[in-house]
This record gives sequence, structure tokens and C-alpha cells, in this order.
Amino acid sequence: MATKTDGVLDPLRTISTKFIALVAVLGIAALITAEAIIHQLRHGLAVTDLASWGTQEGVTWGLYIGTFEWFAGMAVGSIAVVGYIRYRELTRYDVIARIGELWGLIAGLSAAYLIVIDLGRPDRVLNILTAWVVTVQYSPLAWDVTFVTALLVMTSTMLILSLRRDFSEMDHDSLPVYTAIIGQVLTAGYRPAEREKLDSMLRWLGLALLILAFTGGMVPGWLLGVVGAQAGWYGGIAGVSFLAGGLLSGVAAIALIAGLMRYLYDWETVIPTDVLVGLGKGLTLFGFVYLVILFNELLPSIFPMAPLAESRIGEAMLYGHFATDFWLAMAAIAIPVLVLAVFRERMLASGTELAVAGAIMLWGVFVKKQLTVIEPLMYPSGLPYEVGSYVPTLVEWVITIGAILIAILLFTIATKLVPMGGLTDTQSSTTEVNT
Amino acid sequence: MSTSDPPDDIESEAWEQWATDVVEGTGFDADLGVGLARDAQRVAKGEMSEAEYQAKYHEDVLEEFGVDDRPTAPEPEAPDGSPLPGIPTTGDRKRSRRSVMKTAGAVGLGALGLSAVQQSTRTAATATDNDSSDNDVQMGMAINTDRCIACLQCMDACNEENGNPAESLWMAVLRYEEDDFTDSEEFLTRPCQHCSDAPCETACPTNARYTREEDGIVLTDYDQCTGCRYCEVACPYGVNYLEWADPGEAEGFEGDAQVGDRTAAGTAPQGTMGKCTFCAHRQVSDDEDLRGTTACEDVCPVDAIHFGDMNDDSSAPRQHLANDTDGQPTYRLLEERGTEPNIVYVGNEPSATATQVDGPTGEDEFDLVRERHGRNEITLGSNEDDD
Ligand code: SF4
Ligand code: SF4
Repeated sequence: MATKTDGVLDPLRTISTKFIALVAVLGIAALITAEAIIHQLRHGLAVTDLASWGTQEGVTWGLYIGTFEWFAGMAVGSIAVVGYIRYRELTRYDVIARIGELWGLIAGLSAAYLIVIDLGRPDRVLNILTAWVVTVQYSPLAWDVTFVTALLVMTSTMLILSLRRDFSEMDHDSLPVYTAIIGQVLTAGYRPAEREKLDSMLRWLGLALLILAFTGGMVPGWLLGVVGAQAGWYGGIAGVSFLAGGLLSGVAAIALIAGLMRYLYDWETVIPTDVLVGLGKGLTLFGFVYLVILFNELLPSIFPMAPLAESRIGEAMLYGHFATDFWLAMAAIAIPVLVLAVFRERMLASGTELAVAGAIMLWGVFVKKQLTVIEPLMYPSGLPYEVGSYVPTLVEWVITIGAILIAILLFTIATKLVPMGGLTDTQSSTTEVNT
Repeated sequence: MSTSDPPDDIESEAWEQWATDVVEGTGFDADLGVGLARDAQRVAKGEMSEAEYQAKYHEDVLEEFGVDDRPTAPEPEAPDGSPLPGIPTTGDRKRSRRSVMKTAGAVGLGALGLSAVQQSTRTAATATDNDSSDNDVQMGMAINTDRCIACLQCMDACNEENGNPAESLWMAVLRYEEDDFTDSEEFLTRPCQHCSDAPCETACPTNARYTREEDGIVLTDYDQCTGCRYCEVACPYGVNYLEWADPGEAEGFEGDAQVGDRTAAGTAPQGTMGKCTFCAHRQVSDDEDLRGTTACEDVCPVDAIHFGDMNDDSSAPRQHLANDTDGQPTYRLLEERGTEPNIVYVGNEPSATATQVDGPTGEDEFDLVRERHGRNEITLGSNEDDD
């Protein structure tokens, strides 16, 4: 299929003024973020609105940790998608897998550095690694570091190996020189005889990613779920809830990117409609599952027999202090689920609608993650402390939104450096994603 | 498992039969189980010392269960002779009641009264002579909130002593009102509870939060702490205070921050976690008059705070609990959370619906504040206005 052969390399061959403008804007955002980070490094966490829970009536974890949970979720969801596609060898979804590899890696890195930004002594982050041998036996934060590291290592391996395969089929002279160099490095020592082995490695690595996503992928949820001191976090559903939110946000991020790229590069053949429909089905299913789990998490707390601490939190969410944010976030997930379920085929003929649905759902998950983190710290239970308050400062907003924009910048640049998929379209799979 | 009550006389046939029935249900060695149970009763009655009890069955327990997880069992060692890394406290110093209970549960002897003995082990262990070289000192406090007049002098003395900034209230006196027919107003004097099974320690990813072997005080290694605040979210008592800002020249701790080979006394440097240290610098001081004292205890005008070794029945807290409670109830804060706090309160326990109220003496009288500097001023009563 000649069109696809050409199409998938389009982003590499064109550098439009629009692209340059986008990179410039994102670049400026990145500089502003860097300035905010330096400001925080210089003056410490005092530049945030974080404060100790208890007498200081603050929340000690806020936007940074909420955004960490959001990024970590997206990373888990992305690698699950990649793993599924590579394991099932769904070649029609090749481009989707590449988007997932890149975004999974970038989201994982963003999660990791947000943790460092949140530390009171970021210069001592290595202490977590040196103490790891001992602390991994009990500290969920050490498990989390382990999981994120495993995710980064496995996702980069997947990216490198799949790029090796794609590059091996390409005529490097037809690529821009920097891409050709990357291709040269990645295909070093490549022999055609290796192809079969490479295919099977990608397949098994796909399975490994899938397993990692569904096991280790719950660890960032446990980070909160094992904390017995905090009503609203503690409980057996935290890991599952995190995983469901992660699957939703991972698929949503990929759908958003795929829809946008399809629109920008007229990728009707590279990302055919049935692939969009597959992503749409994923969004509907995971959105629905996530909603069901969230309501299971929350509803019991508002019944009269619920423990007091739990019910204060449930009430604040459902009709108290956080109700507006909470219901907006729920609507941002529920409405796209409904619309997608009802108008799927018609709606997904072009990628833009899917992109919009993905963006809205991502925002919904983002808000819910923030609420989850700050809720119990704001409504302490146990001792007679007061209800706390938290109004993130400008520095916190700049660093948080900046982290998102920097991730977008990295992805944008990556699309100009590496091909978004392989060239062969011969054995295009007829298997549908049965989600 | 039989639910019938055991016969009283442990030497009797009936008792033997009853115990055998129960143990056989568990699938473990019946003779060993019955023996353990009978002697456990003897220990409970004081006819047998705990050390004898532990020693008598060590071999057998090891053989039957592959592990002797009871309190005085020898520590497992790594091949190189160093102790195996273990979870904090439980590996190094003593075992938490939880792990002990786990064994008791697995063995199925809980019903035979074994767990009662196990539970008493932690406090009774000092009385045994076989580990006199091994410290089993557990510093703690008895705080009589019935005596407390909320003068807040302990808070002021604490911040003075440790050089804390005004917002880091390692000791805090909470004034609260019960939302019931009594409408009673009470005080809660709240330092760190120096828990024996401290969740803050389990949370810490850098091993900075630790229990001092010598006296069971929970401290933060300021050179190690990375300021992640996981300890703070894991602690149910809200006693941790990160140093958010540079304390500046005005503040500072004048004593020696070194506690053994760790830097852990006095105020926490910027970006690290501080909390009540039980005046650790005093406990390691060369000055004998300072050891065994804390600043808050010294200054309390009504003698509400009693600091000392909770395992020593002649210590100030134990004496206070034994002789001076005036019939007031005693309790440990949030004991159901399983943290094994080492502060015992005398007075009424705050209920879950208690709300804070203002009082005649405010923090501002001592240049102390509640709000982290740079944040909005705090007014008490937010519980009330909130929907
Ligand atoms: S009161 Fe909190 S900080 Fe103190 S030892 Fe217990 S859990 Fe740790
Ligand atoms: S703030 Fe410091 S002491 Fe607390 S958990 Fe983190 S590293 Fe450990």
C-alpha cells in the first residue's frame, strides 16, 4: 500500500511553520517552568501552599503528587496498550503502539521527576536508591521507585527493539540526516536473518509489558491504599482503582495523539477508521469500568453505617466542599462514555472527535487524582484537628502545567526524529481489538 | 475448633482432654501444643518465668514450625554474621506484637491463652534476667490531661529547647469540645507517641526514620531524610512537621544534634522532617541531671507530664499511673490503629466528633503560630462551618 508507506514518514519529512511555532511556544513554556523549578529549589517548598496536616491545617501532598499519580497512570495505560498490540501482533495498530511506547516513556519520566520536585531535599533523591535494599522490604514508596524504574527500562527496550525492526526496512538515505543517524545506530549489526527472532522478542516483550501493567501497575495505587492513617485512601480497591484510571487515561492520551496526528497529516490510511473505532471502544469500556470502581469506592461511605472519617470524606466529595470539582470530573468521564457508546461509528469517522473525547476524559481523571490525594489530608480523622485548606500557588501551577507541556514538547520533537511506524503493510492484521 | 470453655485446673485430665481436642483441630503436634498452652497458663499465673518458658520450648517450636517467632528466640543471622536486614524495629530490637500474634494465630493456640502471655511479653521482658545486657528500655510518657490547664508552657519550652520555628509545634495542646450532652471542654497534650510499631518508619523510603535501640525513641536522621513526607501521611497523629523554609538566623538549636552516630536531635534542617524527639539530646547528654528528662516535663506547672522508661515500674510514668490517676480513666491515643503508642493518657479520651475551640491562652502569647508562614491565618472552628 503505497500511501501508507509514504504517509507514515510524513512527519519526518515535513517541518511546517506551524510545527516551529508550536515548538517555540512549548519551548518558552519549558523555560518558564525551569525558572519556577529553580525558584522552588532556591527557596524550598515554602513557595508552595503545602503545609503539615494537623495544627498547620494544610495538606502535605498536593498538586505534584496528584499529577504524579496521573502521569504514572497514563504510563501504565500506555504500556498496557503497547503490550497488547505487540503481543497480539496487531500490525494495523502499529502506529498506535509507537505512540504508546513514546508516550509511556515520556509519562513515566514525567512521573519520576515530579516525585523529585516534590521532595524537600531533591538533592538527596539518591538516598532512596542507596537505602533501597532495605526499604524495598516494607516502604511502598520504595516499591513505587522500583516499579517506575522497571517501567522505564522495559518501555525503552521495547521502543529500541521495535525501532530497530522498523528502521531495518527503511532506506536510510530517504530519511532526514538525524533520523538516518538514529537508524544507523539502532540497526547496528542488523542481519535479515535476525528478523524472525526480533519479531518474537517484540511479542514476548509485549506480554511482559502487559503483565507489568496489570501487576506492578497497581503499585502507585497502593502507595496511598496501604496508608491506614488516612481514611479515603486506605482500602483494598486502591490498586484496582488506580489501574482502571490508568488504563482509561493511557488509552485517552493515545487516542488524543492519534486523532490529532491523523488530522494534521491526513493519515486516513495510516490510522484507518477501524483503528479509531478500536480506540473508541477502549475508551468506552475503561471509562465505564473506572466509573463503576469510583462509585464503589465512594458510595458506601455516605451510608449511615459508614465510619465517621470515611463519611466526612464521601460527603465532601459528593455534596460538600469538593462537589463541584468532583461532579465535573465525573461528567468529563461519563458524558464521553455515553456519547461514544451511542454514536460510536458516526462519531469516529474522523479522528478529531476522538481526540476531543480523549482530552476531556484526561482532564476528568486529572481532577479526580488531585482530589484523591488532598481529600483525607484536608479532612483529618482521629484527633480533633481542623479541616485544612489548600490553594496551590502560582509556582505549583506553573510547574505542574509546565510538566504537562514539557511532556507534549518531548513528544512533538520525537515525532520528527523517529518514524511513527514500520513500512510494511502486507500482513495487515484482520484481528480486531476486542475491547 | 471447640468453643467450650476450658476447665479451670490445668493439671486435670479434663483440661488435658480439652486442650488436646483443640490442638488436634489445628493439625500441629498435639503434645507440644498442649505443653505450650499449659505452661503459658503457668506464666500468666506467675508460677513460671517468661524466660524459662521461652527456653523450654525453643527447640521443639523450631522443629515443628520451622521458625521460632516468639519474642526471645535468637535473631536469625546472615552467613557473614551480620543481622539480616529486616523491617524497622522488629528486626533489630524487639518484635512487634503483630508478628508475634501472627505466629500465635498460625499455631492456633490463641484460644489456649497463649496470646495473653505473648501480649504481656513486651512489658514483662525487663523482669527476666537472661537479657540483662540487652536493653529493653522503652521511653514513654504518662500525660495527665485531667490536670492540664492548657497554659501552653510545654509548647513554648519545647520550641525553645529544640530551636524550632514558631510554626513547628512538636508539642501541641489541642483544646476541644465534645459535641454531646456534656459539652465538656478538654485538652489534649500531643507530642509524638513514639510508637513501638511506628507506621512512619515503615513508610520511610530512605531509612531516615528509625527507632533508637537504646531507649525506643523514634527519631529522624536529618542527614538521610529526603523530605518526601510519606512518614507524615502514614502517621495517624499529625505530629510531623517538615521544615518548609530556611529557618534563618533567628532560629536554631544550640545543643548537640548528634545522637549516637546519627544527626537527629534539635530542630530539623530545611527540607527535612522534624517531630518530637523526646529531647534526644538530653537522653545522650553527659549531664546526668538532664538524662531522663524533657523540656515539656520540666516546665509543666501542674505536673501533668511524666517521662521515663515504660518498662520500669519505678519510673515516673509508671509510678504516676500506679498511684496518681485519681480514678481517672487511662488510654492510649488511637490504639486501635495498631501503632502501639508509648504515651499513656490519664483523663477523658477525645471522641471522633470532638471539635477544637479557642481558649484564653493562645499560641500567640508565646510567639508561636499555627499557620505555616506565608499561608493564610488559621481560625479555629472550620469543622463547624464546613458543610
Ligand atoms: S506518633 Fe507518628 S511520628 Fe510518632 S512514632 Fe508514631 S507514627 Fe511515628
Ligand atoms: S520525609 Fe524523611 S523521614 Fe519522612 S519518610 Fe520521607 S525520607 Fe523518611
